[in-house]
Amino acid sequence: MSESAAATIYVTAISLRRFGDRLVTESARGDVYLRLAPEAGR
Amino acid sequence: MRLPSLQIALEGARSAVARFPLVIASALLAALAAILGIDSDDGRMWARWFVSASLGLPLFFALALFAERRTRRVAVGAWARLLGILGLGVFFFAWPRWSDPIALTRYFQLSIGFHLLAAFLPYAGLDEDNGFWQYNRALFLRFLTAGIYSAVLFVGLAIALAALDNLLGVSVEEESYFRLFALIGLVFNTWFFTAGVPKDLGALQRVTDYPRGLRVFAQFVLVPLVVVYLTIVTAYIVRILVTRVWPSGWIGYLVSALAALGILALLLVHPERERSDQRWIEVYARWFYVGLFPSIVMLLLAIWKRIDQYGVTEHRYLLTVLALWLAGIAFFYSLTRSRNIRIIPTTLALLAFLTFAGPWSAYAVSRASQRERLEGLLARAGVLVDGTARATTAAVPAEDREQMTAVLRYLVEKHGTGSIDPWFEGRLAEIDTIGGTGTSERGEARERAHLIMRHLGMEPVGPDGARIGEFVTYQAQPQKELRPIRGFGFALTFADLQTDRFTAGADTIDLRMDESQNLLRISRNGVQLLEVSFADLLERAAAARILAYPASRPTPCASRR
Repeated sequence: MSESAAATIYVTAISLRRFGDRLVTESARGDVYLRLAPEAGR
Repeated sequence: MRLPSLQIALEGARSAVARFPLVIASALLAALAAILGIDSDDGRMWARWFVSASLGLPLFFALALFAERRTRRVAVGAWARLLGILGLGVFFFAWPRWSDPIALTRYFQLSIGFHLLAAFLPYAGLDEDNGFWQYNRALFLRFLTAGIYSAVLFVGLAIALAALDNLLGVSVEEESYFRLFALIGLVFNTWFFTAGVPKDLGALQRVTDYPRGLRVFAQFVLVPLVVVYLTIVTAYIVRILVTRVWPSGWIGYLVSALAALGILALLLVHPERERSDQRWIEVYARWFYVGLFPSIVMLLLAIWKRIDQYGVTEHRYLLTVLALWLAGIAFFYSLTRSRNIRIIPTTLALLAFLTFAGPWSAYAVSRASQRERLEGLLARAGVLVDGTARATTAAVPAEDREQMTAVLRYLVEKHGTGSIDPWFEGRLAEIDTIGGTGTSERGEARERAHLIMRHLGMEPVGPDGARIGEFVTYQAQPQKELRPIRGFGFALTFADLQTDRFTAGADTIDLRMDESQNLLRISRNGVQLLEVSFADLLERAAAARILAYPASRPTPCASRR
């Protein structure tokens, strides 16, 4: 399973909101690169 | 060839300058400021010139006619003008010290006061009731005529400019239309208006003609409107009494409109009150004021309720003064059946000036009231002890925090926070790193209010209990370097981290954002394959608390499973 899939995300912009101690993503922009093993998720 | 009409026009223009030199000068200055100010980097500076000069229009007009009527000594008129110039100078120099909303309110307040001054000052202390009415009638009709002339001239010339642009290829900037508007609306309009002011105000006392159109307008347009408004307001009062729900703040507008129309109708038909075939006027005059009472009481109750809950603001203060003034006027006219109409502009102008400055002014009272409210709220929360604010660790009810946030926002936006600086031992500017103790426009005022709340150990609360978060955007500079994709099969760009579905060959790829855990979940054909966490990235972004991150590389956020 460990080699079944991999991803790299390049985030170029991310907006977040802080509620007290908590951080929440509001939006993000970027690119996702996926490597999927043929059998993964089938 | 002789052009008599043109000569008359030129002569009128010349004599207007001779009679109202400072009014025309104010108009020229205001127009110049508007023309130079549009599309200028120094917009604020020109706006300051514009407001100061445009206040000169009604002020110098009133002073010129006052001097003309009341004194034969040139020196007195000159002193009055000098005083006017000094007053406007004070306004000009005080202007930058006011926040935008306060400055605008002050401008309108003075403008209304000066216009009312022009209505009664030339007749102040003179026993010329008919002359007073005829004078205001002449101004009113001249004002309307000038408006029509200016509008036609503007539209005509604007079409000519558009024709030059479209037909003859002369390039005309968009700002040219605004400049034309300023020139006609301020210079031509003022010039035309002043040229039509009756030459001999003393002779107006003997003028007896009354334009029938005015009475018809009042009788068949204004009075029916007043009746309609009065019916709505009365129905609303009945509804309130039945449902026992407090009146909406909106009632202020309706009652003000009702009072304004009703009083205008009475002013317009004033000379006809004596006539035996116009008995309806006397009946109307009495019942209008009597009918106004319940509305005024309701208005005062509505304002009182707001003030009791949320303290005094400029808007509430001025509305209260207006409502009390209306009550006084209604009392006076329904009790005395007086026909003295000069009381209306005189008292209203006095109120406009009285509430402008001093510790009793709308601004000083509102600021003190809000500061006091904040003081009470902070003391109750245990934040303010012996005049010093300390961060609290105790839980403060959300309603209290909502009110504190609102007061802080008000203070920052309208007056600056100088009045609460002593609670912070004069170090508020070190805490409020965004704006010190000065004023800020709305958006920034909100941020600063939140900053102060958090400094005091309390989470701010927005209007209606909305949760407030600190919003941070983190950006990486786009890189010119191409990204290596060796070993990867698919690439996709996402614009927002929302749940989204893509196809990759024969497969379906789902991106699902879990906001509660700041995780991006990737699945293929419904089977989850990966989780990418943003937690680390968010912590770094929040720690940096910067808007534009200087890093040249986008941040990789890798996951493997």
